[in-house]
Amino acid sequence: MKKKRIGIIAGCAVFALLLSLSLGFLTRLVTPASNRFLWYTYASGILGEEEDSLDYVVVGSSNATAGFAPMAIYGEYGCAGYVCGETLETTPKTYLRLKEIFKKQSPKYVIFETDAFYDTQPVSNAEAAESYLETWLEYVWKYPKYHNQWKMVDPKDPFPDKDHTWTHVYRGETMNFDLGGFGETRDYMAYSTDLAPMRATCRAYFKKCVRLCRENGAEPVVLSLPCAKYWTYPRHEYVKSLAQSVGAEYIDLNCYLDAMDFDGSLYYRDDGVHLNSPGAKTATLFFASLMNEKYPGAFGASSLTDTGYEHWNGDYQKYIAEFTP
Amino acid sequence: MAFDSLLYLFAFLLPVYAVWLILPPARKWYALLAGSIVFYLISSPFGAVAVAVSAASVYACARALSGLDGAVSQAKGAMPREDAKKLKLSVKTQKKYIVFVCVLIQVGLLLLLKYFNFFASGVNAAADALGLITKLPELKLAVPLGISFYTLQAISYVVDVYRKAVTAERNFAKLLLYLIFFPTVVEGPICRYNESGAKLCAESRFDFYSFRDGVLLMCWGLFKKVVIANRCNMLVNTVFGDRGAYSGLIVLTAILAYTLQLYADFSGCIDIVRGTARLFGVGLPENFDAPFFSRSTAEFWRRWHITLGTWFRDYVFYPLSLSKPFASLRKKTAGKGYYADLLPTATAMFAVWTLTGLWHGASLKYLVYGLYYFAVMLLGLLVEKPAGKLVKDRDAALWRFVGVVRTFVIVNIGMLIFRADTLTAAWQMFASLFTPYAAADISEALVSLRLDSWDLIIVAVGACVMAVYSTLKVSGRKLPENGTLPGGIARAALIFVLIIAVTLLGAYGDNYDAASFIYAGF
Repeated sequence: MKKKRIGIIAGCAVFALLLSLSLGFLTRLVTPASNRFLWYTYASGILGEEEDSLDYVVVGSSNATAGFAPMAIYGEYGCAGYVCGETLETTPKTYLRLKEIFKKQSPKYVIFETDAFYDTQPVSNAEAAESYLETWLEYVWKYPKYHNQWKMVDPKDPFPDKDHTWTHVYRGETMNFDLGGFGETRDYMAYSTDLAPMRATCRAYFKKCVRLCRENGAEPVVLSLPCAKYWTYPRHEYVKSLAQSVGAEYIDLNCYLDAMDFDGSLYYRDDGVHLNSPGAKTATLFFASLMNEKYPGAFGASSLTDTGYEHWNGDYQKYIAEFTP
Repeated sequence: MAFDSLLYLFAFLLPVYAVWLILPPARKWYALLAGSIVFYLISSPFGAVAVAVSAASVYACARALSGLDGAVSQAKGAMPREDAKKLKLSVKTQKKYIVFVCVLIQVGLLLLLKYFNFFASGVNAAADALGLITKLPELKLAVPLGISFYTLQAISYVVDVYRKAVTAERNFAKLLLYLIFFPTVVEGPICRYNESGAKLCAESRFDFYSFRDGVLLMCWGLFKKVVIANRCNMLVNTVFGDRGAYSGLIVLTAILAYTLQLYADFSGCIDIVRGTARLFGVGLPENFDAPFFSRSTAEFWRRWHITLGTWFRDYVFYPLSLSKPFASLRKKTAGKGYYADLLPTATAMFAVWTLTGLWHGASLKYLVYGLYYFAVMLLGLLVEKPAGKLVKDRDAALWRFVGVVRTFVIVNIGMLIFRADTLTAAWQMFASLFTPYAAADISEALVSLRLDSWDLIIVAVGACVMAVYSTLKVSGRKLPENGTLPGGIARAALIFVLIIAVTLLGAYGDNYDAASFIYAGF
């Protein structure tokens, strides 16, 4: 009986060992060598940036990648930054992303775009929990995320050298010049005494993000880009109090639409959710000017090296060219 | 909480299993009960009230039935025979009332929560046609998780107590566990109390071999769901979602893909369910028995969703067939020829298939789906006699093959009705099967669906693996499922291969639109 039990335990141990080795081998096999395929394409370009070269990083959802233009700030102030986000991103994912970013970058500011604070589509608590679990798993074990990459494995060179040098020409911004036909309205910011609380997990992870930023010497800034479809005054009020509670600056551009001469019919690429590139440029430059007013030199001298400037200047010319009819 | 999700496997099942392991043998069922309650509250918090009402009513009625039976047996010896007979008759009537009330509560809850809006829309349409102003309101009710499954279990339990096939449970918690046992509450199998109720609460110990076989069964179920069904889902959703856009070949491919998807999805889920139960030392009935090897539609339904078929047989078909009105009908038609003899059976079949169709959902298409099978089976009965004269040797290989192919075609048409958004959509897609076939269309369509040649190869190989498994099963070979596969190493190797296949080849994550388990929607 005892012998049988020892046999079972030994068998299980061998099984676990073989399985772990196989999964480890497969993880190595399917994890992309190039940083280009590690995250959502444009976001993963940040991993290819020169070490400690970024002065600020913007994190958030598709609203951030559509509505923030790092190259516009670079052209105006010579300040290097990156917008690093993904569709439907939420703060738990942002937290894990920031942990990766801080391994290579030491930005002065981390700017949190607030669309990622709320669920765009209603999800149940169980679905949200599942999503957090998957996000966490993705961080600790790459295999489930990249499992489908086995199709791309080159049989001649199945384990190519790691290549984390790819960068995105527009630093994470998804360029788009569409006009969504959104009618001009500013009613969505009508005053209200209500508050729109965030999901508890998102709030908790935002606070963790803030702590992480400060541990790494970065100051958190909270930014709401114009978003007529989803942004509301109750959300504004709630986020304002949240930002205050962690001592972070909060700038809601939805409250400055007149000041920045924002034209919804020209600046949305869709029905009032995502900005197009002219909208992103306008909103980003206005935000930078506000920041420079409040914190002189916030978007000023860059940490770029000489070769870095060369690289960025070339990319800025391409950015300008996009605006040339 | 889907059974193929990380949340279920690691954040739910693992802790429940850990608690189950820690508890002493006689108390292990506490872990199952607590797990089931937590599972239900997470998945369907508003449905918990309906489950509680259902369980309480079933418990009270079963206890009342048991009490009456006890009173009769006590009185039997103490009173004159004549009085005892009278008492027995009166108790029998009372018992019938109790069962009637109990079934009424269960069916009433089901009708209210799942079917009210369906019937209300029918009544309102009729009111519109008659020019009436008063209309039934549309209720915004959350359908409790697994209501179609636990309602049938509740009815079977109370009827079985009435029939004295099982003893009424004294412990309410044990009855509740039977009704909402977390693996079975979502998609079944629809268990009888004497099959699973007692086993769930029986004293049990950790058994390595049960654990291993449970894990193997779960891996096999995950393979079917994650590798095959999820891949088919992308093709099926797109084609069925835009029915007018595709020509015959693609529609045909989508229908076949849906049949494969539904089988892989449902049988995969049942394998995960049975595997999970086996981890806890509980054996659950099979729900599938190589259905695509069936030679007739009737045989198909004896092999597909077996527990639903047997439920309708035992609690609708037989009681109806043996009821007084049917007995008198049988008397009237007796000796009036083959076709007249079929009338009582056909009438009972009509009731069964109408209910089977509606059980799947509150929609006209499900009703038609049930009646489609009724029509097919009735036709089968009608032509059986003349066909018997034409074909002498029905067991000939060719005739068997023809039967399997014919059944497969019939089932696929049924699947088209079942999956299409509406009956009109089903008809349009059926009609498009007869439009010109262009082989080039399929490759274009597959590219637009993000399915590449690797995906097609995986689906094809996966389907072949399932077919081989079914063939082995039909031929009576040793299979891991029934615990007769020889050798621990063979099983360990199978588990190993399945884990690698599911994690590496599974259609999950960024590039795929994985679907929820289909029958969880019923």
